[in-house]
Amino acid sequence: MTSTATSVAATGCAAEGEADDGMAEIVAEFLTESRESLDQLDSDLVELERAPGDRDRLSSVFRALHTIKGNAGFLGFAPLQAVAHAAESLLARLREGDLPFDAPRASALLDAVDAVREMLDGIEADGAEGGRDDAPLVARLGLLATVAGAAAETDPAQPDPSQPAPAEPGPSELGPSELGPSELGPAELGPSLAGPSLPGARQPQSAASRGGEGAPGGCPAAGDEGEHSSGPLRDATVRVDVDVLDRLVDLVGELVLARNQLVQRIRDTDDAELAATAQRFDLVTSELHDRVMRTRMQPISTMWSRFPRVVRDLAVTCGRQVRLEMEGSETELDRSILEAIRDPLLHLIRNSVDHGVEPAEARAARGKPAEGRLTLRACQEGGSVNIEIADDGAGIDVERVRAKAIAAERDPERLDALRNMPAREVVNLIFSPGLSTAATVTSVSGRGVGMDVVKNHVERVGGTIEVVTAAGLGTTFKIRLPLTLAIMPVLIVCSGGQRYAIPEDSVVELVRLTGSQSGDSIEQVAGADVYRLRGELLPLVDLGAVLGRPERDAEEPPLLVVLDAAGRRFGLVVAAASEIQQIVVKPLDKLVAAVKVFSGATVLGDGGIALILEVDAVASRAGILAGDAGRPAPAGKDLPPAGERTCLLVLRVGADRRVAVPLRDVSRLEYLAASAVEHVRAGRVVQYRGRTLPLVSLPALFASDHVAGSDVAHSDAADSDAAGELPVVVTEVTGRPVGLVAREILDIVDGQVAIERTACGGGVVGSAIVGGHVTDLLELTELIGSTLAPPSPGEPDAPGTTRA
Amino acid sequence: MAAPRSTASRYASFVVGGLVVGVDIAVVQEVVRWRGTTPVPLAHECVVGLINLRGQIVTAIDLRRRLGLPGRAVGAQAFNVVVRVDDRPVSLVVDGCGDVVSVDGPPDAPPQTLAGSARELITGVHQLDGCLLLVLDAGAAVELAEVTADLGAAQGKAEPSHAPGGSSR
Repeated sequence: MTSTATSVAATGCAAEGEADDGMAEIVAEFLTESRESLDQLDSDLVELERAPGDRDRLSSVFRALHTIKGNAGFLGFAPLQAVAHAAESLLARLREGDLPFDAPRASALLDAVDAVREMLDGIEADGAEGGRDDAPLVARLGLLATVAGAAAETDPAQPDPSQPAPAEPGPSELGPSELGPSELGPAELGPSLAGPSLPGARQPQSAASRGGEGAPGGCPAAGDEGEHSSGPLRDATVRVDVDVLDRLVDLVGELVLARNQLVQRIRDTDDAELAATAQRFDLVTSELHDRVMRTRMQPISTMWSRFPRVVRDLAVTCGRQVRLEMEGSETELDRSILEAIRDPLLHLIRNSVDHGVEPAEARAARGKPAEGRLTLRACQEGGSVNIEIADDGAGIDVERVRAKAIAAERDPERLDALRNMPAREVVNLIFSPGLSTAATVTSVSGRGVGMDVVKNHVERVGGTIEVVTAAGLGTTFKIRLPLTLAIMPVLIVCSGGQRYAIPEDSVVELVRLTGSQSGDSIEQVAGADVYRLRGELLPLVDLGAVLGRPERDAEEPPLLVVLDAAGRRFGLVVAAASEIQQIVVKPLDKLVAAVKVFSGATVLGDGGIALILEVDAVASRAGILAGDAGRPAPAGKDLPPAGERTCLLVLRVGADRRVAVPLRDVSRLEYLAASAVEHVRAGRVVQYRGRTLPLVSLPALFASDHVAGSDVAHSDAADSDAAGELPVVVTEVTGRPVGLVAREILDIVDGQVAIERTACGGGVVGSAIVGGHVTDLLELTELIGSTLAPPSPGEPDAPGTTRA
Repeated sequence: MAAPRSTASRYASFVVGGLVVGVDIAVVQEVVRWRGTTPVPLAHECVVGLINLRGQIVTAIDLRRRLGLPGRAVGAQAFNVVVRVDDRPVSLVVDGCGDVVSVDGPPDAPPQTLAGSARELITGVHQLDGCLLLVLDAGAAVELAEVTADLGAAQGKAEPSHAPGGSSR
């Protein structure tokens, strides 16, 4: 019965498609082909505006539009044909040299390209161009094709470029004859469009000399796509449906898995011939896998070919003169990554044109050429691709970013850090949410949203971004992306009988906890596990507990995977780990993608499935990253001092007095024999790991503030005698180890506590209610600075040393 | 999906917790025998886990739980009915498979006695010889409200691009 259902389903589908398959296929091909031509047209037209004398380019533009027109006519898309025809007629006149290729004509042609593109979208959506009225545009193109060059610069044609006709279906009652200066405030748009005609007019000489370097923009690969007439190259490529490719990748992935199993079995046999065959099979499979993966790669030019147009339009809108140069557009990237960074790149380009490149006068005043230069560079470097967006504009005003960051900073503790931060780091603060240095909010950019989104997008595909700037010289954004998303090295771990994959780049190291070690080094501080790794206290997270499956294998000594989540380290406790593997990443269905802890899944060598852990999400679910560390504290969130100190170590220092120190500042927790404490001139010390460790008695400092003097004696008595062992918090915040003596180490708490800031001084920065008790928060640098004397001179009357 | 050519409707029929359920044949991609799943911790309770369908990872939804029926006995046989909804495969886990059934005429209104979530998923009934065929809206069955509400547009997937793309060389 199973097979019945399957086969019936299959035939049902086939029958359904039969009816109009042929036609739909032709239309689909027409759409794909035309769109590719349009992208090329965009950049060609912009290039032509710059270098009107380029006959070859003009011819290629003409041919492309001619092809679109012909196909549209054949398929019966009359309105599309009409627009393409009008544009083609204009181009014919331009090609004959009757008319100059000037800015108004370039604009009209670009508008025609837009109109055609919109109609293609319409055709794809519902099979028709949509209820458009392109008569105004057609009329405008017609007018520009008839009016002589001189006239175009003066009145009759001038207002026409301001018609945003293709953008909106013009009001149908407006006949072609009526269109003119009256419509849509040409007064406002006119000047901005007149602007580019200036460089356009000046262009011929400079463009000729620059011809060579201008050309790389229209990179060879993209050029081939646009050239529909060129024979041999066309035959060298085949158009393949992306779905087919994706399926191919799946199948090869499966083949690799089958190969793994097979080869493993064969390795155990004695049959030499079989083993040799298996080896060849092994090699061929690897090669095949590699090749198939490469089919998903696309040259970055597929995305960049649109940018000349974008830059041109932006430059017009912003009143700038910008030349776009592109290097390395043949660099290949996985298409899913290309798609993911399209918007971020556009945003950065917008930023560079709007804020980076100065207006011509300002540039002249600084002795720079009037025309700004925007350079896109791409190159492959090992397993990653670097993309740079560089402008030669004003650069980012680092001090203004600093001032903005300081103004936005609500945490007084961080202000100093911001003031002293090196410029190179300050400038990267522009990626923080809500920080925009745009003096004016323009329609193009500067609303204070964006750069953080850009960063998010880049990071989402496993990339990084940074910015380098030099005042007056320009700004460069550097993006680093993985070559492909599809394959990723991961560490496979086990927990609760299931396997999970951890991306290799977040794994720092593995620590095997042997029986005795695990007893020694995992400290239970009021329920929270902490592990000492080479002097560093590492918060522990049990993977099973995070995933809601707390049962842990009792027999197996647990394994610690030290992970780095947004700059914060923690130890993930798992039952076992196997080696690092290359896996094929599969996206999760939206039904389970909502579980943020997993970023995807993969099929393992034995056909089983492993979920891929999203390390940051695991950490935040476990409360490690409560404050979203790594960024300046977002406004409105109560975070402990210094923003990322989310974990606090709570100590009891008096009968009822509690203080908390940031866990980050804690190197070790020790219990030292009270008898080992020695008294020197500068205070009390203890020998610790071959050095002298100065001790600061917290009870002496804090219990005395509130409680009568007798308690001081009592607390110290408790310290040294009654306890026998002193709980000591070892810290190195001041560059040398210092021991803080407490009465009792109570707890480690998450930093999500409401902190009231008070100006108490003496190392106390505020207080909070932790676990029902008022707890003072300590700032160790200040506390130790005010308490301990510098090593040599000694200050016997410092508070911490009074008992000496 | 396809416009019905006549008034006849064709359903792939399944047994779930004693009920006979029909799914429009056009959305059924295939049926495969249950071979266990990889559980997804923290997921919606109706999500049984993930299955490896010839290299493709498919989410499996327990149709019993989805319909608010009692759970399946451990070790009982089950089938994955892989349906295509929104152009992605999702498996509905059922107890058994029946034949493809052709029925004339529109379905009757579903009985009022259906409980809770079943009422939203069963769009009608057909009277067959000896039993009632409950017509299941497969699209609705694979929408899990709590999950899709705010996070549906799974992050990480770039928003659909209007790029000329569509092909690669």
